Amino acid sequence: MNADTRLAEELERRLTHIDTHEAGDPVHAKLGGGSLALFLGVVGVIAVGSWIAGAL
Amino acid sequence: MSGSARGRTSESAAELTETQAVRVEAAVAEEATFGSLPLTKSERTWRAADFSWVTLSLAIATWAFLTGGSTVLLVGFGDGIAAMLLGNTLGLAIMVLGSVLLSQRLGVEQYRALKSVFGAVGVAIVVFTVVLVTEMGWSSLLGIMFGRAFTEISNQAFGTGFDVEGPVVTVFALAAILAGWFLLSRGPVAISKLNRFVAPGLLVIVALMMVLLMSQHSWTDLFAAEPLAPFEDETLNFAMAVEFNLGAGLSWWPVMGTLARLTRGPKAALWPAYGGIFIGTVVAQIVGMAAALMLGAADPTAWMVPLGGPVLGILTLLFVGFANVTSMASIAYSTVLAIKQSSGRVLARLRWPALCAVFLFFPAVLALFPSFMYGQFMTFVVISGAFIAAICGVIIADYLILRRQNVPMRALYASGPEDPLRFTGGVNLAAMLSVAVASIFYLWVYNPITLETLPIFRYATATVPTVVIAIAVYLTLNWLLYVRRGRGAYGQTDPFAAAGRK
Repeated sequence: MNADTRLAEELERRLTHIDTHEAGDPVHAKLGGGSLALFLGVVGVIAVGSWIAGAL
Repeated sequence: MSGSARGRTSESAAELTETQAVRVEAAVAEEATFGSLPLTKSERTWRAADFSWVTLSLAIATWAFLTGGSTVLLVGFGDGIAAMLLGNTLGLAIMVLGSVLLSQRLGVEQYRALKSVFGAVGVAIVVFTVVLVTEMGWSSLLGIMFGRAFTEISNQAFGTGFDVEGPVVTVFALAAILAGWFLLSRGPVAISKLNRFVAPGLLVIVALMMVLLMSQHSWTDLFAAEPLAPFEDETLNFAMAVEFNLGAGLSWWPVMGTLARLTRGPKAALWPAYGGIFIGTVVAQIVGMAAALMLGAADPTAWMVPLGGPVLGILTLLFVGFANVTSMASIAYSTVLAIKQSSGRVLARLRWPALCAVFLFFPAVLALFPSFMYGQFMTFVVISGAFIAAICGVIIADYLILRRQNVPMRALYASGPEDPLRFTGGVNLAAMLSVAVASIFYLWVYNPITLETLPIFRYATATVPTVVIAIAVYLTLNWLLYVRRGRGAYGQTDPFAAAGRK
C-alpha cells in the first residue's frame, strides 16, 4: 500500500465520518442572518463614526 | 538456504514492511497536519478566545508600526486614527466575509475550499500570482525589519556604524529568513507555542513604547503635529490614508481561512478574525503613528535605542526582531499550504521543509533590496489590496449569495470529467473575469504608482466600489456561464442543513 492509497483512504474515512457523525453538529452551522446583520451593524457604526470624525 | 537464514530473511522482510508502514503513517500524519484533508470536530479545538489570541498576536506584530507610520505621511494623528478605524473596519469586514466563513463551515483549508469559487486551476492561478506575491512581500519586509533591528543593535552595542539600509541589513534579513524556515519546517505546533510567549510580550512592549514616547512628548503636541509628507488637498490625503488602511486590512485574506478551519462555529471564527486583528492593529498602529509624528520614524528599530536607552532599547529590539521571525513563520505557513495544494504533483511531492525553503527563497531575493522594499511599502500594500478586494467580492457573491453557504464538500476533492466543480477546464471563467474587471476598475480609480485618482475616490475609496463591481459582474457572468446551464453544483441539498444556523 503506497502513501497515495493510504491518503485516499484517510480522506474517505474523514468524509464518511463527517457525513455520518457531524452532519447535524453545530460545528457545521451556517452563519445566521441575525449574526450577519449584527456583524455588519457593528462594522457600519465604526465606519460611519470614524468617517464623521475624519470629516469634522 | 538454511531454515534460520530463511527465518532471518522473513524477519527482515517483516521489518521492512513495518518500516514502510510507519513511513506511510507518517506521510498521512504529515498530510493531515500540513495538507488539505478536512478536519473532524475533535481536531477543531479553537474556541473564540483561542482564535482571538491568535489573531491578536498576528496583528500586533511589527508591521503595524510601519502601517501607522505610513498613515501619518498623509494625515495628522487625529485624522490618522479616523482613517485607521475606517479603513481597517471595512477592509477587515470584507476580508473576513471572503475567507473565514467558507473554511470554517467545512473545516477545510482555505485554498481547497476556494475550488468551489475559482475551480482547481483557477485557485492555482490566484495562489501563484496574488497570494505568492503578497506573502513574499510581507515575509521579506519582516526579514528586513529584523535586519534593521540587529544592525541597530550592532551599532549601539559595538559602535559598528553600519548603514541601516545597507548590505549588513540584508545579511541579517537572510538570517531571519533562515530562522523563519527553521521554525516553519517544524510545523504549526511549534509556531503556536512560540506565539504564546511572543504575543503577550509584544503587548507589553507596545505599551512600554507608548509610555516612553509620551513621557517625552505631550498629547497636545501629538495632536498638533503636521503630517510628514501630505498633498495639498486634505480630502485626498484622508481618502488615501483610508485606502491604505483598507489595503492593510485586506492583506490578511491569504492566511485567515486556513486558521479559521480550526474553530468550532461560525461566530467563533467571524468575531475573533475581525475583532482580534482590529484591536491588535489599532493598538500597535497608534504607537507607529505617534512615533512617526514625534520622532520622524515609525520603525522602532530607528528610535527605540535613543528613546529607551542602550539596555532597554537593545532588549526591546531583540524581542521585536525575534517576534518578526514568528510572524514570518505564521504567515508563511498558510502560503506554503496553498502552494502545496495548488501545484499539482510537482511540488506536492516535496517534503514540507523543502517546500518551505522553496517559498522562502523569494523573500530572500527581495531582501537583497532593503531600501527599495521599505520605500515601496505603501504601493505594495495598495496594489495587493486591489486584487484581494476583487477576489473577496467574488467569494462573497459565490458563497453567501449564490450558494447560500452550501458547498458540496466531497466535490472539493473530486477530479476529472465527473467533478461537479470542474467549471471550464478547471477554471471558473466568471470568477477570473470578474476579478480582472474589478481589479482594473480599482487601478483606474486609484493608480497607486502615479497616485492619479478619479473624483469618486475622494468619497467612496477604490476598494468599496471595486467589491461592489466584483459582486455584480460575477453574479451576472456566473449565471450566464454556469448557473442557468446547471453547472458548478449550485442549488444542491445542503448536507449540513441539520446543523442549523448560529
